[in-house]
Amino acid sequence: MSDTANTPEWSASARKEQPWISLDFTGRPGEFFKIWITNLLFTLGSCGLYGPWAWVCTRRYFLSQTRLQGSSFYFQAKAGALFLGWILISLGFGLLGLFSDLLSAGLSAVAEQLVRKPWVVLVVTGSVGLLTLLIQATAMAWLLMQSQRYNANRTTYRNLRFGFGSSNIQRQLWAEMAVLMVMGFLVVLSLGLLQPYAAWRWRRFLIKHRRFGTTAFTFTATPADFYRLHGQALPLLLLGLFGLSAPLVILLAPFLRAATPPLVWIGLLPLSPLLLLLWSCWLEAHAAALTWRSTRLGELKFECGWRVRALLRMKLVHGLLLMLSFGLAWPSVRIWATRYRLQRIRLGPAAALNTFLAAEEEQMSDLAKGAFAMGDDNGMAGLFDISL
Amino acid sequence: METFNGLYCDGHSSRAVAVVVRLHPDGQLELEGPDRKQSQPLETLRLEQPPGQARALLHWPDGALVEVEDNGRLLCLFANRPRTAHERLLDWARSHRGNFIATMLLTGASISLILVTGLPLLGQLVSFATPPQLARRLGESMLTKLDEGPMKPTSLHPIQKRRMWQLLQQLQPFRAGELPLKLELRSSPLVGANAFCLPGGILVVTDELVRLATPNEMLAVLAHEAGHDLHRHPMQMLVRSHALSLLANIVGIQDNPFPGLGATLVGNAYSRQFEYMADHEALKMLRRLNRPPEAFFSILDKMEKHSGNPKLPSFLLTHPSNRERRSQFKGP
Repeated sequence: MSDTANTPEWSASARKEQPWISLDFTGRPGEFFKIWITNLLFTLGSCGLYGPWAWVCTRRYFLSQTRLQGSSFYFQAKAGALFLGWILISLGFGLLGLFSDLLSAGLSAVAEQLVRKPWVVLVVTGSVGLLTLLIQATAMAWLLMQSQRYNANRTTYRNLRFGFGSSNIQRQLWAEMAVLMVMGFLVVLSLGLLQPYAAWRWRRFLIKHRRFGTTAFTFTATPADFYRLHGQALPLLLLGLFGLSAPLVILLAPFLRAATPPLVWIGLLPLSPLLLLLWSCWLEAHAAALTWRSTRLGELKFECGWRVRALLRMKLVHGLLLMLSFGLAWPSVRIWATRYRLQRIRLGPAAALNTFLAAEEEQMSDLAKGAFAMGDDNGMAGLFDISL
Repeated sequence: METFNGLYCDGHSSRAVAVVVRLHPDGQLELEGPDRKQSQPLETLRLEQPPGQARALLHWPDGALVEVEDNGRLLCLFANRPRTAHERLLDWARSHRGNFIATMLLTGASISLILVTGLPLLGQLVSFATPPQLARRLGESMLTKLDEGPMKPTSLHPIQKRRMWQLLQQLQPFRAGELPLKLELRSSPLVGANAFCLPGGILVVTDELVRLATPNEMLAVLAHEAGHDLHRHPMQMLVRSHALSLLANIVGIQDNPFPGLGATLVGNAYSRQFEYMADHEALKMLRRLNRPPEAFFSILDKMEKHSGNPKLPSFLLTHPSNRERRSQFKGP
């Protein structure tokens, strides 16, 4: 397994004729620390009501510090417009939880009085639980789609908007989303065997419905590519899990009439967390490289050159810094991590950047606006962090 | 004449053109590029200033915009533009080092105030406002959950159960106007020798503890748990931990592990504080019943030996060490 996730295309000869460009990130830790601490103060002072303003401010900062060929990205959402939808959605989820508890308790009490059979009560409470789960899953799917739409639609580069989905393919979006939700359960049931397929579907969903101006992104990777990738990473995962199982084997040894496990096994135990971290970094870097090189935007091609060793070092050092600083180093850590990740994404040919045309702005309801932060809290997610 | 370099984007295509922007003395802002030259009164343009040292955006009435690098000078031109109170407050907090230090101190003070005064007050208000019957229903539902998990029905002999009930009756007179304490016996090899109090005055004692303790020691344990109920500690802990996790969510964004870790440590500190309070209540009850308080320490020692847990720094624990409890207990 190689350390770098670079592809042969990284140094293609075509590059000489048509120059490629890298993203640049100019964010500074001290500057973001100020933004973070003021956001924190206002959010605490307002009992959390300042949340949408803090979120918009953070996202605006990260996007405006990201440059491509001399131009920055901008986030043009108004936090005040998001507030009502955000409150409505928060209340909706709270009420749904309360309603489900009350309904379950009330119905089971009635069933107990009328039928006096424990299995009927079990069926009633089970049905209410399932119904609530279905409502919650549907609501989550809707929120996720709306957040993607909203965030993309409010992000601009060179005065052109990004977009996600469109009103005439709503049925297709819902169908794909439903498959993704079911896939979440199936991954667990299949003991992870479906994970590569789910990862592929999820990336395809996020990328192929995204557009810049009138031009849609395309995604050409196949499930086989993702299975190959996960297969290559499997030895590391197995080695890590093998080491982790040592305490279990020591505990079970007397029952299995076996001697204590071999020394190698016990020796692997302290290394296991490191091996598992290495596995996750390897997968992260290579999945990102595969995702980006399979993505097109019109004439534009992408490449991602995250290195496994750099990701591993970053995670270890950043984790240590966060612990030593009691979390105060978090703004710095986030800036450094974003800088590394963005500056190793390249695209080209550069001239193709000038060829995109503007699309119409989408109108959205207050509820859709309230879905802004769903699974997309990074400021860069949805645009450059889709590989995660 | 003020001059700025910028990038012009017309809003119709992704092409960016390098332009020069000049402000004329008559208030007209002139834009000059390779293939365009236009001017507009300054007051018809809208300035957008992203947070930090990012480029400012000049929005033109026709939907075009110019990204300007030197936003400091540009901001001076728009110094008179109307600003909201929110913008002024943010500028104040971030502009000077002194103001920023004040903001940091204020943030630290707010968090400390919430943790030291706010959450305890909230916990007290909610727990004492909750009707005792409702608290007991809550305690019963929590016990049902425990019964589905690590707790099994008791295997004590009826005589042992009767003795336990008699011990509990000695503590009931200390509960004027409260619901009588309810004793629940359970067997749990996983939990081991232990006892705890649930909302609504439900005291849960494991068989393992009953077998380990003498009658005086058991009375001390029950008095300690009754002390928890007297101060509504289970209910208070429930409210405080919910509020703490909400606070951790507000403070923590994304992958910052500190708020979650901090909330755990603060939760532990609250729990240790409750243990000391329950110890003092137990001491008072034992004195009034003319029972030796030493019985309490001897059962604590036995439980410590029985659990075989390694010794950790006290800030990581929900209960103070026996040595700390002994010194507090003997204090007054």
